[in-house]
Amino acid sequence: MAHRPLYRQRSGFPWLKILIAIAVVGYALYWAYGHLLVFNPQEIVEKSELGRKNFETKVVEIVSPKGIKAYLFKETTNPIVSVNFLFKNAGIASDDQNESGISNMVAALLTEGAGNYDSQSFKEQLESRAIGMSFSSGKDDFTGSLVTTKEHLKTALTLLKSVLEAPRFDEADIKIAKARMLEVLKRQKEQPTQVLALDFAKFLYGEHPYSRNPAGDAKVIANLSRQQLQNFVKDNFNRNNLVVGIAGDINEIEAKVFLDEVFGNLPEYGRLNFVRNADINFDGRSKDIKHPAGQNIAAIAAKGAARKDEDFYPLFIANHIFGGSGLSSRLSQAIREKEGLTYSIYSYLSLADKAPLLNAGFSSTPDNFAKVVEMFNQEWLKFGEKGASQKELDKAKNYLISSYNLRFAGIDNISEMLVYMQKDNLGLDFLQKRNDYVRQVSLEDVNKAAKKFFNKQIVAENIGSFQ
Amino acid sequence: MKKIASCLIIGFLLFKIGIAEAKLFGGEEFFLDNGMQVIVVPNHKAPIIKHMVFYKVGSIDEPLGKGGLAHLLEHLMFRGTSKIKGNRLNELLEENGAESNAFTATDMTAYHQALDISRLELAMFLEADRMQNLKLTPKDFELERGIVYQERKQMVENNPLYYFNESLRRVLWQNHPYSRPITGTVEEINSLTLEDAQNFYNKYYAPNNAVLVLSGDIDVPTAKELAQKYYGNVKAREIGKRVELPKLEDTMKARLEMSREQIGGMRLSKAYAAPSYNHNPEDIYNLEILSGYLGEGETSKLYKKLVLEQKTALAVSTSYDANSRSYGTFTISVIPAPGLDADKVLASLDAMVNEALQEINIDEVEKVKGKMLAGLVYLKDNPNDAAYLVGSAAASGMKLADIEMQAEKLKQVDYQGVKKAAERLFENSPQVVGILKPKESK
Repeated sequence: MAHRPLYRQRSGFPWLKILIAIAVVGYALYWAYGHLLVFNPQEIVEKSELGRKNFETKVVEIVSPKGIKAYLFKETTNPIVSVNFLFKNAGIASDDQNESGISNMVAALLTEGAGNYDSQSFKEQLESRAIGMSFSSGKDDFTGSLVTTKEHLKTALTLLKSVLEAPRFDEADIKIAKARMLEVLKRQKEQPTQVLALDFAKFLYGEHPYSRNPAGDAKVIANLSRQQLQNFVKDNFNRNNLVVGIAGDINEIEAKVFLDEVFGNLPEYGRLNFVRNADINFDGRSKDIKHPAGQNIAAIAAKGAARKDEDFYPLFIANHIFGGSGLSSRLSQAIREKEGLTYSIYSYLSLADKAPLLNAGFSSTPDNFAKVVEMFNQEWLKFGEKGASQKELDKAKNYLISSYNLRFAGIDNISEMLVYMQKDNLGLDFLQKRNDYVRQVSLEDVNKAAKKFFNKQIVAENIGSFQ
Repeated sequence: MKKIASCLIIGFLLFKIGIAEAKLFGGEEFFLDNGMQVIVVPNHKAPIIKHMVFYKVGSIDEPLGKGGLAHLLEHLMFRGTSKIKGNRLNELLEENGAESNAFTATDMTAYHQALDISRLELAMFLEADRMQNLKLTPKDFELERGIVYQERKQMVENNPLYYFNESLRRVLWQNHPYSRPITGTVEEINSLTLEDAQNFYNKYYAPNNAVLVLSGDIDVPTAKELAQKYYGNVKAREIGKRVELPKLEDTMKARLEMSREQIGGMRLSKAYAAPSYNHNPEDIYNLEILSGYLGEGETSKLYKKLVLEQKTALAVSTSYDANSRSYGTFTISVIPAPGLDADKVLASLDAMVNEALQEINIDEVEKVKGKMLAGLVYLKDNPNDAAYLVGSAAASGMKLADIEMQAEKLKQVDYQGVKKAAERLFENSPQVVGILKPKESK
């Protein structure tokens, strides 16, 4: 009974063997396919021996004997020091209505001499020691930047101090600065992008000071006096609205000396500039400007989130997925890469104090333009309704986290970052925590933000020729 | 004995320090067996790196009538290989935090990524892959040709200044390929074919026609190991024969005037075909100093004379580019003071250039050198900038030793050399005067 006919055994084992053989060969092929033929990027990154060390990004807060605060990032690879600073609420939007453009003119004139140095001798001092000094007036704040070799730190300090305490504003230099500003105004509409930007600011912000021409007003500029420029400095350069970031080859003691010397004699308080929040009606309105152009251009704005708003990180990531990540973004994929209809299409967050925005833009030849507008609107609304996928979120986080260290490439970037960490109250440990802020954002958060910000509540303006 | 030995060691150290200081970037180079040049610029400030591959091929290598081919191929390099299909390259780089891009110039084409050092090997794998396995499909080709057409429309036709400069180059460079726009014209772009792109790739994209630059948190032995691992197996190829570049007529003096509706204010410029490193490696330092002396910065001679004394200009600047495979370019740009006639400003410019040349002496030249050399340490700050500067010089044919020794060469320049170089440049070089004006209302 127990005996089985031989033929049965023979006919039973071969198919089992064949099955096993198929399984073994199949698995071997599968393994070879997975390991040898298919490229496994994760493996390359994991096996790489590079980058296994810690990178210290330590920021300290220092307070000088005279009470000037700053963030300091010590970096001694090269004997270079970079200082960035700003005076809050001293930018274009705070210019008096009848002095529109004055902050820009002050920015242009501050490197035209101070104290005992007239324009030429001041510039000789800077250039012969490769000291870089520049000023500019943004929407909200007035900013300054200094970069010097360690060797010439003392001279750089003295020059910057004299600029802030005793700028010359010599009549001859004022004359040149005015002529240049008027020239800038004349050239401001040479490109359709510029025409659109100026008009869109008016269309978007209405009566709010953000609608101003950043280059000022020709009549006002022509009449600005030396006294007005001096008053601007006195009113706006104060210790109370000052924010400073210092990076590079400088220790705490040297940095404190720097702070006291350069900023210690500024008045404690100055004029209180109040700019109201921009009350923008995102009601879906749009406008076309007819203008000769090789390509039509579109500008879009929607409500955004301020830096400390709880929606900021979810929106930051949502924007990255939608139009902030270059060729891999949804916009680029759908309209550039798959259809070839445009060269550039993107979205970005703007963080102006009085009107944080979610912006987008694109350009395309007139024959394609209507189609791009339609596709853009579809993508925008689809993103708002359906949000992103987990895969998209993971990819975005991977990018944002693994690209993080790139911001430490230049010493000037670092000191500027320190300024905005303070201005936006991000905390002394922001550099250590930032990647966690990104990690903590869930898909639900992103999709909630997508729904809240990517909807029909936008303002749009186009320039070009329309069929 | 011991004392002598320590003296020797100190002497050696001093010698080493001296050399290290003299080197602008502190770069080192080596070659792989397949001929690929590798330059490493260590910078250990942060755990990041710039990875760049320069190919010694640009728009001047395009066959006549195939303008825009080098640039279109640059775009197609992002469209997938036989191993990494479609958009996977962009996705992978993005997932790994890379800032990735590419550019095409007259003399070279470069692909680059700034990355966290832990991702470098991935970028090297991907770059080596597209150096040898590019896969072009008709669909991708059509799409990308449409995109570069849009790019040209955006960059050139929406920017009258760009359009003017393009015309200026056509006049200056005559039948030299530097006269042709890098993007190609619209007609040329539309006539390019997939075969054109494939042939161009086969002809010029090879390790023996490339320079790899690694600038950032890496040491030379590791760079050697990785360069060999990823690029060492890419086979060398025979590089296509270069077009013979014509010699320009030295006595050519041209003038181009253009009035465009959109232009709000006048611009004047003078451009000269000048020596380059490849033409005359010694003369370039004289011209570097000349440019610094005449018009770099607001303490330069022309600024003082035209803006402050004559009041014929609101701004003036000069620039000199010696990093090119063929001629270099020397340029003077002027923004005239309002209300002045172009010829009046040009006459003032010529007179002031002459005056400035008369005034060249030892003191003036030493002062210029001082300014140019004072900020050299900044070159070691940002690894991204260093990668670009070193790589583009190397790709246009400059030896690394010469790139590193530029400061030393500048120090050796004497004022007579500058004077002579200036005379040759202004009197005996092909040149063009360009005037861009607003269209006067009728």
